[in-house]
Amino acid sequence: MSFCTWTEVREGLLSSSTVPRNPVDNWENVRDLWVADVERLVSDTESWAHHQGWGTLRELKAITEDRIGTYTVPRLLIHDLFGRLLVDPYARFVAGGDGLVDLCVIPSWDSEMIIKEGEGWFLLQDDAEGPRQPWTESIFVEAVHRLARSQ
Amino acid sequence: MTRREHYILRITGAHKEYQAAEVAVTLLMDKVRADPSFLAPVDLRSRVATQLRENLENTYVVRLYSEFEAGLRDAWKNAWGRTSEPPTRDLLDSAAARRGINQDVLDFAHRVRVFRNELIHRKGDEVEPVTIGIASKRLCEFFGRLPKDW
Repeated sequence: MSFCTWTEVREGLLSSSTVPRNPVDNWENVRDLWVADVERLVSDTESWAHHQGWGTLRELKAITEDRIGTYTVPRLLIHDLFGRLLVDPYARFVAGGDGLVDLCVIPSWDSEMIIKEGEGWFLLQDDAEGPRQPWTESIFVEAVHRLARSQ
Repeated sequence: MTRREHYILRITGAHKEYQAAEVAVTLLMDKVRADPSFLAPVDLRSRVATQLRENLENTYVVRLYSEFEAGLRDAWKNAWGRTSEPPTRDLLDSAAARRGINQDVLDFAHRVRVFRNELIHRKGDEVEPVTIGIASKRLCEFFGRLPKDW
């Protein structure tokens, strides 16, 4: 029996990717940069969760966008006694930002938004006109507790 | 039920009403084919049944979009506390920017808006038609990202 590496699984899924319906200039590069950004965000968040002693599980999510086609990114399940949360990539092209990942609590699916602006990620508790905080370990931990309490 | 759920049910409800109406129109067409004077007791010609069938989906696209827009205006006023009454195009853009809505979903919502405007105002502009099934799915996706309740 042989096992695939994470990269092989991703490349296997990407091989079935479609050409975008409405591609932006240099769409493959834009897509790859976005995938790399999401992978970094998920890795950082995963290690912050481990610092807290929380369990995590990764799985792949396929996303299709008209401008950059189909691609796969990791999503991260975080669990402990407080419950379960999902770091769930949404889209590269969103209104009001340069990419968006949801932080959802299960089972209510109440969520906060982790929005990319320029080179940085920011947490929005309500909407884009509300307060935004840079995505750091302490902001992540606060958000997890806040969402867990909202259940 | 939250306000968001309420409006999503209104949108999907309009789609379901269309599906029921489609069945009803098919039955009506069968009757009219069998008896061309079937509608005479209500002073209508059989041609009206054909027109009804041809216009049914677009009629319900207008209905479905009106449910979506009503919900969006309710959110604008009561979730976000805004007192202005922006044109629908700006309302869609602003709501999408507040909630980080997928650009594909926003683009499609504009497509439904433009199609609906052409159906209502008949300016003769060339617009891409929209089917009610996809309109329902995409507008619910848009609405599903609004605040949960207000």
